[in-house]
Amino acid sequence: MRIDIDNVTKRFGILAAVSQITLSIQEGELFTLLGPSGCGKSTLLRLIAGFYNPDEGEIRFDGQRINEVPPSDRGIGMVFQNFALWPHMTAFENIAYGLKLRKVGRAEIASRVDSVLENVKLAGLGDRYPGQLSGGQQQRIALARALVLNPKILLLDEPLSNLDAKIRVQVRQEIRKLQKELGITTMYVTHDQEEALTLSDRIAVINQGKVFQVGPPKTLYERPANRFVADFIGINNFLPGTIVAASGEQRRLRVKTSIGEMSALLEDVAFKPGDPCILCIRPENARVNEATTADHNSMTGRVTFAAYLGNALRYDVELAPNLIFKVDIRDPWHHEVLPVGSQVIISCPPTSTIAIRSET
Amino acid sequence: MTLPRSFSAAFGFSLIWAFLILFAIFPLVRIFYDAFTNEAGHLTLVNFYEFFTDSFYLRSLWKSLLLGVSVVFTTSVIGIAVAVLLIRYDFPGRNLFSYLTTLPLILPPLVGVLGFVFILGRAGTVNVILMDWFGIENPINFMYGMHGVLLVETIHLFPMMTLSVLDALSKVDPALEEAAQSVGAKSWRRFRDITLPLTTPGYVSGALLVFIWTFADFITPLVVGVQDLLAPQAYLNIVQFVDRRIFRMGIVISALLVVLAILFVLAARQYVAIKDYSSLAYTKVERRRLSPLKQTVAITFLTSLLIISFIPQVGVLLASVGRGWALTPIPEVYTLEFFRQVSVESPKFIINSFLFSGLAVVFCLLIGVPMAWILARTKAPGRNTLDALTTLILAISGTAIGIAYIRAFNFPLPFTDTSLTAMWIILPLVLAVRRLPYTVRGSHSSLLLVHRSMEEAAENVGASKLRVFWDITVPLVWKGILVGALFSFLTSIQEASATIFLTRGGWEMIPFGIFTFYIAGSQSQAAALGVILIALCALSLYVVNRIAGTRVGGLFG
Repeated sequence: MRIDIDNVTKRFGILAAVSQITLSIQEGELFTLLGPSGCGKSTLLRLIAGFYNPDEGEIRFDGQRINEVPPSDRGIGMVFQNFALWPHMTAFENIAYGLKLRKVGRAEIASRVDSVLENVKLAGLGDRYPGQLSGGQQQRIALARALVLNPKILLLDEPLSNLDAKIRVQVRQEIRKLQKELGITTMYVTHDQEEALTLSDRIAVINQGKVFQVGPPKTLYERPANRFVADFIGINNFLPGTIVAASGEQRRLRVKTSIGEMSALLEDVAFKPGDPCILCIRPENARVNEATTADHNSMTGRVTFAAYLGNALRYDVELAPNLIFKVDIRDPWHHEVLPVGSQVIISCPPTSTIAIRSET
Repeated sequence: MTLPRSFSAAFGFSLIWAFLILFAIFPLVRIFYDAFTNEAGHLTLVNFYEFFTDSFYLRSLWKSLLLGVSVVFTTSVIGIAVAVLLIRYDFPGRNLFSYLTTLPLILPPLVGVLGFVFILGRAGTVNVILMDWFGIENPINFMYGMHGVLLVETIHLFPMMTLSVLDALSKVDPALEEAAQSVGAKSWRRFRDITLPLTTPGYVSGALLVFIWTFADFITPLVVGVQDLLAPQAYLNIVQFVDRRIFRMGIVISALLVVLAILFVLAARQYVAIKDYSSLAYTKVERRRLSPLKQTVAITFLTSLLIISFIPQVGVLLASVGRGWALTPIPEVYTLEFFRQVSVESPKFIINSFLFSGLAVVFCLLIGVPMAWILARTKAPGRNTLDALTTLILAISGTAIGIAYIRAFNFPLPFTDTSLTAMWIILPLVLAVRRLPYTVRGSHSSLLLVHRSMEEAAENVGASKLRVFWDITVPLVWKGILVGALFSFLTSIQEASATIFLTRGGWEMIPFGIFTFYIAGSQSQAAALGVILIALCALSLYVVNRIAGTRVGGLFG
């Protein structure tokens, strides 16, 4: 089922938790709302579930306006952050409850619940109470409870945030697999960018009630449209500058910064000479003290800090007073750590130097 | 920490147990001993045989049970409705109506029943109006009989139910209801299948307290002329003391009250222990608006309830300032004479109330705070027994304890020829035992709020155990303890069950004065004392609220 969110606003008091958001989610898509806590992503999900009503705008399922439809009639499956399993019912009863409300026969209830328990790999645990299940198991029961009704839409509100790191990765993959198998339109809310990047078909990055960028994970990571997205997803170095020249043919920009002129990838054709911009370079795309070709951007600075991360070593390099550049050594096994104070040369290719508009 | 470490700790520990054994366990054991022995001190079941073969007592038992169940039913319907409206919905006047839940704290039950009689009695305001203005021949009997008891107990006890359910409801994660919505459960079905079952632990404890209170209350039935219930029988048998056989029946009834309390507490603990749902994470509930029709119904319901709840206050106030009030809707001549009589002329009621209740609070603090500390901070042996004992004391009615004290302490103390029942100190003692659970629970929950790591952090920067206690623990818990103490005071000056059995000439507290004035026909003096008592309660509650910063409610359970 396709979901259209059309210019939707929801206010609490004078604060707009969701402000004029327009999004379209395609049939069978796993669409993630990503943003810091309090950004309005959960509010948007609850608007779709029907727990809140929009103050402005319209929500449509397959073109049908559903603003006034109560949550119990929307045919939505929802998984809550704290699982919200009813503690006075067994796992089986939790899953069967929605079927019972629909007056499904006893035998059919039993077979459907058993098959969905099979699906979430919890066959045989139906007679346990939620309190007797582990966090990961509770999470799967909550998922089974939503799936057993064959909903057209599945809503997941930070479903993994209450789980341990290892289990989180495991359940994450299971959710993804199940969602693809069932082909169910899914909206997923999280503040965890890694979760969003690995799971999603597309992501909407939300902040202060507004959508900052929508796109597949790769686009968001490699071509952020603005400083918030560039900063929120992954780690980035920012260098403010001014456009000197733009060459559409070579897809190159020349940008003047406080530490010299740089080359960047021309993505936004609207850049003209004289425009202010911000250059973004990710630490993993930069090199330390390596011979490079002439078109690479290169900077010099002094190491102020080295952080060993296991799979990488991250240097803080001071390029100018109060201008720190983070750069990763991606194979620290074979790297002699430079002492703090060492002078280094950093280089990076223009193809991974992104220019974005500086916000006014 | 496994055992109290030093000698002084062990000494304090023993003192607490000595107090509990002497003033809580011993009287209860004694009442059972009396119930199971005959005049000659031989073990026998003859007392129970006589009780259960006497058709009058059997009928009283049956009627008492019926009354208890009826009051649980009426208070459940009203109490749950009020609780759900207050916590789940938003409507004009919600804050005003939330005061419904504090009313019983400032309306002593004894005063409540008098107030009802003044307004709804045979010659009360309502009947006078009906007869004068609407030409009704005979007064309508609103009050005298079982229905009167039901009315008074319902109005007095529904807030207790509301508070228990409110407490439980506020701990139910709203996501659980939303999850039900998301699988298609509509409002009433959702309430029945999800919300109600989740509030049962709170509901059960509320229902038990309501039942036990109703079952053991002898004053309300006596004031409205009902004698064939167990509690009034216990009172009449003990106080009138016609012959030894009757006296022993009073003791048997008292023992039954204790057994009942124990059974109910065990049942409740079992039930609540199995089904404790409150440990879930909870978020804030968004209050819903009601449709205009439903809103009108809700506001009408709550307004009527508020008006009915205020009938007693109005009645008592009018009766206290009216001279020769009879056969008119409201008094025609007003006077403060009765206040003068019960305060200036014989100040003993007020003085005794302050003295005994104040002393009771001191005992409560001396015993209760260390008890709370033992429960919250140590693994001393017997902790669970201490905890169970606290709950038991909460459930045992004043009627039963009063009778138990009469029997237990009616012997000359060692080295003297007077018994404890002949010394006024017995009143503060019985009050302290009755109110001890409030102090223990209040202090215990304050102590739990002080996380162990806060104290450890202080030790870590070099504070000694004692310094930690004074610099960290005390500043964080004194409010809770003070509020608990004031609450004990507030309920002690209202106490009108155990103390009535034990009071002798010169020891009269305010409730005793009200009761005896009323029984003797001096209604105006009773009413004046009633107004004074309400004022004192309201004042204490005001102070409690100022200190606590919020309205205090759920300390019943």
